[in-house]
Amino acid sequence: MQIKMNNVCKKVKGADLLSDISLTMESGNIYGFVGDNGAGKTVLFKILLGLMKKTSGSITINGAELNDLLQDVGFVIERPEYIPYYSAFKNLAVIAAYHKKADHERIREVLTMFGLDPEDKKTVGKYSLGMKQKLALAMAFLEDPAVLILDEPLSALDESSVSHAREKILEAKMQGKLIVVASHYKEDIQSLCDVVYKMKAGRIVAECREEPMNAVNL
Amino acid sequence: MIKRQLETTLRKPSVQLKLLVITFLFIPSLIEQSGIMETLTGEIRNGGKPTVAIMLLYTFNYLYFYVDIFIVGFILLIPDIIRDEHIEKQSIIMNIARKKAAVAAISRIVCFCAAYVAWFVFLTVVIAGLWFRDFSLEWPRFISIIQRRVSRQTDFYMEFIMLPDNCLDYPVPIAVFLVLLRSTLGFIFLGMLASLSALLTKKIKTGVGIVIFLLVAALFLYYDFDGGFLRYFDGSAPLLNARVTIDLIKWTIVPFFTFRSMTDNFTDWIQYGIFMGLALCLITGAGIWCYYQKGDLGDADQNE
Amino acid sequence: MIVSNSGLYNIGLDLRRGLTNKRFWSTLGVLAFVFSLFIGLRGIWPLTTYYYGGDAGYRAYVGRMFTQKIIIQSLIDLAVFANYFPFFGAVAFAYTIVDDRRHGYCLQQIQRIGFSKYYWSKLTASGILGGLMGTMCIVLICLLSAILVAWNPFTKEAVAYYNSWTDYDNIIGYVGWGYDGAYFYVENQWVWWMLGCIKYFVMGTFFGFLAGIIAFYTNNKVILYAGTVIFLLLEDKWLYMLILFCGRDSYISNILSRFFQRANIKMFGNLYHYSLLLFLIILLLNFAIYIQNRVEHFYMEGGSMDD
Repeated sequence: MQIKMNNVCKKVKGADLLSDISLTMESGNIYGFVGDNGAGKTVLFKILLGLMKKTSGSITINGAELNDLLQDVGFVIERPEYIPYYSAFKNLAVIAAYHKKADHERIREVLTMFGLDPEDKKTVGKYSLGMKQKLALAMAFLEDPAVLILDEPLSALDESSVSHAREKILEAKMQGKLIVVASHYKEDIQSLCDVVYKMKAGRIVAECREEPMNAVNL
Repeated sequence: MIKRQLETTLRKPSVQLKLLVITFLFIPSLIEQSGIMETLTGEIRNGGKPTVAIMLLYTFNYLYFYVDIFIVGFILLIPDIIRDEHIEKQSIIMNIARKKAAVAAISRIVCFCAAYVAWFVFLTVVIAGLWFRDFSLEWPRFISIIQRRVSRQTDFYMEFIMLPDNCLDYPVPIAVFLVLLRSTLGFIFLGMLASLSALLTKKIKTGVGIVIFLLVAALFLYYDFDGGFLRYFDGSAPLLNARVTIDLIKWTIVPFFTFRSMTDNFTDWIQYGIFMGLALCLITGAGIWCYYQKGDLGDADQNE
Repeated sequence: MIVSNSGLYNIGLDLRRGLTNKRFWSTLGVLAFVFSLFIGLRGIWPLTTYYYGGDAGYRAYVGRMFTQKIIIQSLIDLAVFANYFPFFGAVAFAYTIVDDRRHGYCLQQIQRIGFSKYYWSKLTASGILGGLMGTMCIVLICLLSAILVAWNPFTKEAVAYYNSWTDYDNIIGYVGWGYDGAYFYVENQWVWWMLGCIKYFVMGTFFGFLAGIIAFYTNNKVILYAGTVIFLLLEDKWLYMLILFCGRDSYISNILSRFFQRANIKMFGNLYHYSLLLFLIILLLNFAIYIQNRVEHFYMEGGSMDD
C-alpha cells in the first residue's frame, strides 16, 4: 500500500493549521512525526483518517484519490476513546460488531497482547490512565488493519509496557503494515521509526532517514 | 448497528437517571389528568367514559405535558441522542464512508426520538388502562357533545380536551396514529436541529440552547401572548374594527405537538404539523448530510 | 476578623470569584433583557386594546399593571417565569463545580483547604449567588421593562393615558403574609419591594443550593441546569399525589395545597412559601451531609456518575 500526500493544506478561520504537506508512505515502514505542541501532527492524522477535510491538495491511496474516510485502519488519536461503564472486553466487542472481522477469541488475544485481563469485569472508567492507553492500543490493533495511526501511543505506560508495546509495533511493521507514529520521546523515535518528519507551525521542516535513526539530529 | 447504539446509550447510568426522573414526573401528572378527565366527563350527562385511546389523544395534544415533561426530558437527553459521546471517532471511522456515517447519525436520531415517544405511549396505555379499563376504539359520546358546544362559539375557545373540530371524521386509531406521527416528527426535527447546530458550532450546548429557545418562545406565545395572535390597531380605521391580526403560533413548534384551540380544524392543523414536520426534518437531515460530506467530524466538545 | 483558610474566608473567596466572573453579569443581563422583551411584547395588546377601544375590564386592569410601575405583577404572572425561575438560581455559580472537576482544578483547591471546606464553601456560595441572581434579575427586569413599555412606540400614547389615572388601589402594596389568609397591606413602596426581594432571594438561594448538590452529585451540566426546574415540577406533582392520597377535601390537603411552588412564585410574599422553602433547605442540608462522603469518594478516587 502507498499513501501519497501532495501539497495538503488545512485552513480554519484564516489560520494555517497545515501548509504544503507532501510526503509518500509505504507499507512495511514506520513513519514518525515529531514537533512541539500545536505543530499540526494531530490535524495531519485526522486529515489522513478522513475525519477532517483538507482545504487543498490531494491524498492518494495506491493512486486512487482519497475523498472519504480511510478504510482498514486502526488508530489512537488525542485521548483514548472508551465507554466508561463497560468492561474492556465489552468495549472491544462494541467496536468489533461493526465489521465482524474480530471474534471473541481475537478480542481476548489483543487484550492479553497489551497486558489487560479479558475476564476482568471492572469498568474502564475505573482504570488508570496507563490501562486506558493499553485499551486504546488494543482497539487500534483489534481488526488487524493495514494502516495504524498512533498519536503518542506509549504515553502513560510503565517501562515494561512501553518495551512490550514497541515490540508489537515492530511486529506489525514486519507484517507489512503501514504505521504512522507521533511521539515526544526520542527513544520511541529511535527504536521504531524508519523515517522521521519534524513538523513546525503546520509544515514539515525536516526529514530524517538515517539507519540507525538518530533522533538527536531533529 | 442502531440496535447496538440504542443499547449502549440506554445503558449509560446518566441516561437511565434522566429517563427515571422524567418518568417519575410523568406518572403523577398523568394520574392527575386522568382524575380530572374522569371528573369532567362525569359532569356530561350520558357522555360515556374516557377510553385509553382518548387518553392517548389527550396526553399527546396537551401542551402542558410537552412543556413540562416531554420536551424538558428531551432537552436533558439531547447530548446522548445526537452523538455517541464516548467512542465518537471510532464509530465514525467504522462506518467506512462519510455517507454511511451521515445515514447512521440521522438514523440514530430518528430511532431515539421514536423510542422516546413510544416509551410515553407505553406508560400512558398502562396507566390509563389501569384507571379506565376501557380499550375501546370508538369515539365516546362526550366528544361529540363537546364538539357541539365548541361549534356554538365564535372565537378562541378552550375545552378540557384539546380535540378540535372534525376530529370525529376519522376513526379513533387513525386519529391516534396521526397525532403520534406528528409528535414523533416534531421530536425528530428538534433532535436533528440540535445535532446540526452542535455540528456547525462544535458545541453541544448550542444544540441544547436552540431547543430551549424554541420551547421558551412557544411557551411565551401560547400562554402569555394572547393565544399567539399579534393584533394591533390601525389608528385611522373605525374603533373596534381596527385590528390587524398575525398568527404567530404557526411559526413556533406548537403545531408539531398540539392545536391552538378547539375552533381550529383538526385536518388542517394535523396536515400542517405533519407536512411541516416532514419538511423541516428533511431540511435539517439534508444539512446534517451535507455537513458529513464536507465538514470536519469527531470534534464535538466534551464540555457540555 | 476572618482568618484565612477558615470556612468564612473560603466562602468569601468563592463569592468573590462568582461576582467578578463576567459570566455572572452577562447571564444576568441576558435573562433581564429576554424577560423585559417578553413583558414589553405582552403589554402591547392590553395597553393598545383599551386605549383604542375594545374589551374593557380585564384588559384595563392588565394595562394599568404595565404602566403603574408595578411591572413585577406582570413578570410573576408570566408562565415562562413561574416555570423557569429555578434556572436563575442554578446558573449563578454551580457550573464552576462541574468545570473545576472536569479540568482537575478542584484538586488544587482541595489539596490546600481540605475537601470538607471545599464542599461547603462551594455549596454556600452557590446558594448565596443564586439568591443574588434571582433578586437582581427581578429588579433589573422591572426597571428595563418600565423603560421598554414607556418608550415602545406601539404603547407610548396608551402609557401616557393610563398614567393620568390616579387610582392606585388594589395594585400596589398587597402582600400576603400569615396563615389562613391573614393578609395585610404595605403602604410604603420600598418596604413592599424589600419584602418581595427577600422572598425571591430565599427562593434563589434554595435553588442555588440545590444546583450545587446536583453539580457535585452528577458532574453533568445539562442535568445541573435542568435539574432545578425538574425538581420544582416533581415537587408540585408529588405534592398533588399526596393531596389525592389524603383526600381532596381533608384539612391536611387544604394546608398542603398552599405549598405548591409554582403557584407561590406568582405571589409576591407568602408565609406558606417561606415555610416550605425553610423545610426544603433543611432537607437539602441533611441530604448534602449524607452524600458528602460519597462525593468525596468521587473526587478523590476519580469516579464519575457513569461508573
